[in-house]
Amino acid sequence: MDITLPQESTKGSAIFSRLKVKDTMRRHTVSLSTEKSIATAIQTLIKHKVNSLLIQDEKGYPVGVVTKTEIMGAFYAAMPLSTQLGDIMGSPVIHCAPTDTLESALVTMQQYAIHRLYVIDAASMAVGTLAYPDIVGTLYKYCCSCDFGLHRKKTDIGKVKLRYTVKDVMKPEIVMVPVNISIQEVIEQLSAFKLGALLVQSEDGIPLGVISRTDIALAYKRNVQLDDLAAKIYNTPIISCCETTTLEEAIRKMIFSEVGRLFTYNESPERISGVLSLSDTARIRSGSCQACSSSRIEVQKNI
Amino acid sequence: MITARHIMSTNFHSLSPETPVSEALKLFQTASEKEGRKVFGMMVIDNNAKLVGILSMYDILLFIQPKHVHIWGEMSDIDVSGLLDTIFQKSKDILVGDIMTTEVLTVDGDAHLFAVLELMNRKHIRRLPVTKHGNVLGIVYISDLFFHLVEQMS
Repeated sequence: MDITLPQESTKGSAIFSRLKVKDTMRRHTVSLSTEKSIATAIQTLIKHKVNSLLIQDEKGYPVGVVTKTEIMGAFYAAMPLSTQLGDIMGSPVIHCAPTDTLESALVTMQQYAIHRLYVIDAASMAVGTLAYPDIVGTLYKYCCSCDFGLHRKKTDIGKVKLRYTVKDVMKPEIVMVPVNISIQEVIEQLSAFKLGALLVQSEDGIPLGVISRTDIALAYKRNVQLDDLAAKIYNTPIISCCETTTLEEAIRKMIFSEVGRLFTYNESPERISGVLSLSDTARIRSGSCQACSSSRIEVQKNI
Repeated sequence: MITARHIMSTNFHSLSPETPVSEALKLFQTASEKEGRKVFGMMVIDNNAKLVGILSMYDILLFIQPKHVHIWGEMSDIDVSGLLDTIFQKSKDILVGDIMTTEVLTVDGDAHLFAVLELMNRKHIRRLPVTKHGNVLGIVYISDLFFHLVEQMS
């Protein structure tokens, strides 16, 4: 990310609203052409650790998008792994321009209920992507340069502002499924609740592990069958944090564990109370103080 | 006539698509020791002895690159020691078949040396499996091809 913040940013003014997409976007897109197979798409998603692929025509122009959602849908519909991406891609490509303001891009993401926008220049070529994690990064940097930031220990005690904790941002709803349901039913739950991941629990209600959309894509690639059980593909351990953790600490943990969400708990990690996603943290802000309200991204909940 | 068969190496090591990536990392080390050269890519051969892909250094390096690096690259206050351990743990759950390159060019053992050279030059590839009906006979390394030509010409 290549970003230069103006000097005034340390004063906690409304600088954030002046940021452009080009200041925040990732100058990298992972693309495949329409005739590549679903199998290749899954390998590319796993290898590059991304959630979405831009699909290009033979001239390199963007014509569609394949995300883990399309992959999951193809698995559910029992399509062969050799199916071409042109047959499953979503189109048109929802995009913004490098010169758009970050705020207008966020509004577009909200309108279409998507987690990323492709950045397309005047020549109709993709020049980058803008996703919630990129915005978290920008905000984090913004907060680091603020006099009231947690990172600046010199702050006078009298000036200490209220910190955001996980509890302020997390969603209290979680979906748990029993370990003996089929992968087909897991996909139905993930789709119905628009979830990135759900919890798998034992017959006596103890959380055992997690199944994410990535796990579904891997299962598809490995020729696991739709009527196989959730027990076959769930992941351990459940990466979680306490609700009282500061938002900054939680972001650190997600970055470190390479996950897009943390499950939350109150007293005991065995009793999961909710989920905090990286996207949710972008919607509030990345830092955990409320020193400046102007930098907060107010986007409607339940995207 | 010099063909692919003459310059290919038959002293090669291979991986199974079901091998975890964490295991493959170790196998790159042992293969390098046994072959006496740094191995940057290994052929992936399934249970039916068919070539199904190549796992290259780049496939592995892409997977090792930490996710969100573009975010915490901005965060000088974050201590990232131990991150490699996390990624190693993760590599136990990912299989060679999940990240290997599946579009692999091959040549027949009877392909002429210059046909092999032309293909490797045009496609910028450094190793080329030699197969017969999908079964691997050997592998041509561009360095072997180069030194073969150097010897012929001097």
